[in-house]
Amino acid sequence: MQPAFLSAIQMKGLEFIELAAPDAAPLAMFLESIGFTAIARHRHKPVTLFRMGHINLIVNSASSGAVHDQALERGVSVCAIAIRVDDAQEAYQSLINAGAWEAETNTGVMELNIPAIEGVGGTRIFLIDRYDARVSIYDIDFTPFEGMETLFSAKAASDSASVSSLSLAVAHGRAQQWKDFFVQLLGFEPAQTSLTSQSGLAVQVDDTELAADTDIGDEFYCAVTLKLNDQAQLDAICAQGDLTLLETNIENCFEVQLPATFPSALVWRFEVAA
Amino acid sequence: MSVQAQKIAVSLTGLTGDIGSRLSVIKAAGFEKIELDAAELSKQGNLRVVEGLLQNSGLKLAAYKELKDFTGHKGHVMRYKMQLAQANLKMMTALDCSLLIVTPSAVNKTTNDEVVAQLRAISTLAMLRGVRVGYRPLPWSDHAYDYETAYRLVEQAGNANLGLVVDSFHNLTDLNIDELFTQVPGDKVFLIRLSDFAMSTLYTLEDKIEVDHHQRLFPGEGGHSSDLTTLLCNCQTAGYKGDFILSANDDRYRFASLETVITKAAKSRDWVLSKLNR
Repeated sequence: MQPAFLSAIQMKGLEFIELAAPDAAPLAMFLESIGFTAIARHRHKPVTLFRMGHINLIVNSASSGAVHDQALERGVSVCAIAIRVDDAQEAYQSLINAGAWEAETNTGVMELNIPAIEGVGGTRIFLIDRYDARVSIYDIDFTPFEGMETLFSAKAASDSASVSSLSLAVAHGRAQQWKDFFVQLLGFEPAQTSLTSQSGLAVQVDDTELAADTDIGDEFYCAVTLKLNDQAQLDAICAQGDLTLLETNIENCFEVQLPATFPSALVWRFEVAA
Repeated sequence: MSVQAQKIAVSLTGLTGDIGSRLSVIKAAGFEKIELDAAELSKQGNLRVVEGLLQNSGLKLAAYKELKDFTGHKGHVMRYKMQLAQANLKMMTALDCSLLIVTPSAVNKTTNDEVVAQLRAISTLAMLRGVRVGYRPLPWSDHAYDYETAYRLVEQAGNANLGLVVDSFHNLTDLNIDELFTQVPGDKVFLIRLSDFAMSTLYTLEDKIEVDHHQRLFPGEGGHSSDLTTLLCNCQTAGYKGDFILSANDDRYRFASLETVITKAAKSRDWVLSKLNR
């Protein structure tokens, strides 16, 4: 057993992924085509909560600030992830002690002040401990769209969709550095081709796409894999949406062909449980 | 494979004069990189000025020296050290420098595990700014005083962003430099600092500190040519890929003209290259 100051935090799951979007409308159409439903909007900001099964996806099309700058620069891209922990304050402090940088969170008045550290390429990692509570983080900052009140507060069935992995594209030669970050700070364990967390999330780090002299600010999340529990769920999504799935070199894993309606380097994959 | 001249950098602090003229003299002598001492920044007072001078000179920074007295502190002192590290890393980002030299404290007030955690923390902090960390043992430290003790800590920290800084100064104190690369793999050495010395051994702490700070000669100018040759030969066999710093600070250079000293530096670079490429 390692002493407390050497051990990573205990990550309990992925709470949400936040996307920076230059224009919300075409992205919303795409997300709906792959099975997401727009559930709620932020009380003060141009931010929408989408949901599919266990997956919370926050689309931020702010017209100024860091998220806006990222959207202009990289198109639709991950600007934050939020991870579940038992005690956000304690996890935050131990991550800062372990060498994480505090991230600015520009919380507005009467909004939840969620602690965050810097992740890859200037993105943020939020720490959330209010995920099983009666009042969720979304109750404070979001209001449901009309007719979505039940879905807004409902809990997803245990076998519904979840995020199974995130992929990072990092500067050539920095793959092991980023793996060490996920292992030594967030408690991931090295597996064959990826790192896995006890919470079920996997992380892949790829340093072959970007050149060695890439500015580290240009490192980014390059792919999100959504896991469905059976083929029927995928068939249902395909039946209602205008969607092209491409085979990948992994069995039961399909890449969604992105529409040309918005700029993005983020790859979406569906994985069907065998 | 032959080592190019651009891998040989010179420590800015070995030369005297205002920073602008030193930079232009170094560039004119054919160097591409320098090692920057943090003291130069505080002397100059304005980061923007140094940034501008560096840009004009076309010189790059091989290493930033250094975050002193880092490992071995407890509680609030450690938190202060981390804040200091953040400030240093911000400056390094502005100056486009990607290697931070870190040294241990003299007296460890914590446990071995805590020192390992401190090394991991500084490595992570620097990784997030695109900077690698080189741990430089000091003969007067009680927990990282030679390559064996320092490398054991680096190994335990197990962080890809953390390696060692090898300094030929250690040849005078505890180390048989020809054994270094039998203990440490070449890719875990991030920087080699080269100095020559007039004396052969040092016994007292005062002597060690005095020589480290004021009596480093350019490689090839002292009595350690054959040991330095061995080090240069062994590092290549071990696959070392980093830069070499010519670290000279002897008082005699301080009273010589800039032209005299840069001529010595260039001669020393050629000497090092001739050993690396023979």
